[in-house]
Amino acid sequence: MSELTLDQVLTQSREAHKDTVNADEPTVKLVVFALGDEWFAFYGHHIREVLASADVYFIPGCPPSLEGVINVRGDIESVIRLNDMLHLPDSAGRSGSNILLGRVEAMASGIRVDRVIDVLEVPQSKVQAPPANLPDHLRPLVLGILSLQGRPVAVLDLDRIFSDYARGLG
Amino acid sequence: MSEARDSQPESPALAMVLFSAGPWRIGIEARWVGGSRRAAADGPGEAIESLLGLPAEGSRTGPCQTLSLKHPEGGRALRVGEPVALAEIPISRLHRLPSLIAARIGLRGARALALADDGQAVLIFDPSRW
Repeated sequence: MSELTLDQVLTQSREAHKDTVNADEPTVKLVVFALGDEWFAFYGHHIREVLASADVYFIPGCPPSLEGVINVRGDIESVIRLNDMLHLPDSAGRSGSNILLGRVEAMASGIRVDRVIDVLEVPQSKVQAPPANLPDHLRPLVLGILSLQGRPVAVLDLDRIFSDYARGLG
Repeated sequence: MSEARDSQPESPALAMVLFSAGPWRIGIEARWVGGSRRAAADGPGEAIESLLGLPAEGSRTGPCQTLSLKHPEGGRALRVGEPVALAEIPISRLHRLPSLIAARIGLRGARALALADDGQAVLIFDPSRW
């Protein structure tokens, strides 16, 4: 039988969660993912689903960053890559990649990412304003920055990404 | 033109003429097609690849057909790749173009997508926009 007391267990539990949850502070859900060596995130309420794999059907006449379409339980969704828009090298063909199904108002699409790092809830205060030295191409796309596992994570504006993409960027 | 019936046709369905443009499958509503006949690769009619702005058909070696289109501005001959088939596509399989594809696709008249029995995507066009 364990020699731990209930008080000790509760204290340990509180310590373990001290950094992630403060019941009095509003939290935000984030889907954190990697593109190349960089980490990014979308707000969780914009991501409906994370797909481990899906057959992508090529559609002619589209830019290279538009992979094609996938069939999600009878619904057709596009799949785009953000590498060009984010000025990242093309990482097509990396094994273990995922597709995030994003929706913002009337626009929806799958977004290819190299891997999903985590889906987590953090205190809103952990998401800081974008730094002044953010590269120009990222400035309109980044809503905030947080630190996760000692690495910077840029929280991206999915609404802006979709509307910029529809206008021909990326 | 052959008649290809999807297995277990559902109701309602839309009659479509399906054909090839290079490696891709294309469809248009059958009501736009007056007829079809076998043709040489350099036979009569405008090549579908040229009409849509797809890569040139110079390498096409497979059999072709010429479709007679009932275009609002008069009849029009269109040279397409085989197989050419008349198919009943259940409307449950017809999908609007996803918003980002509708915004970025560079092919004139692209309106919808259908997924065939074999899972292949068929791009559906509206000939009145050609």
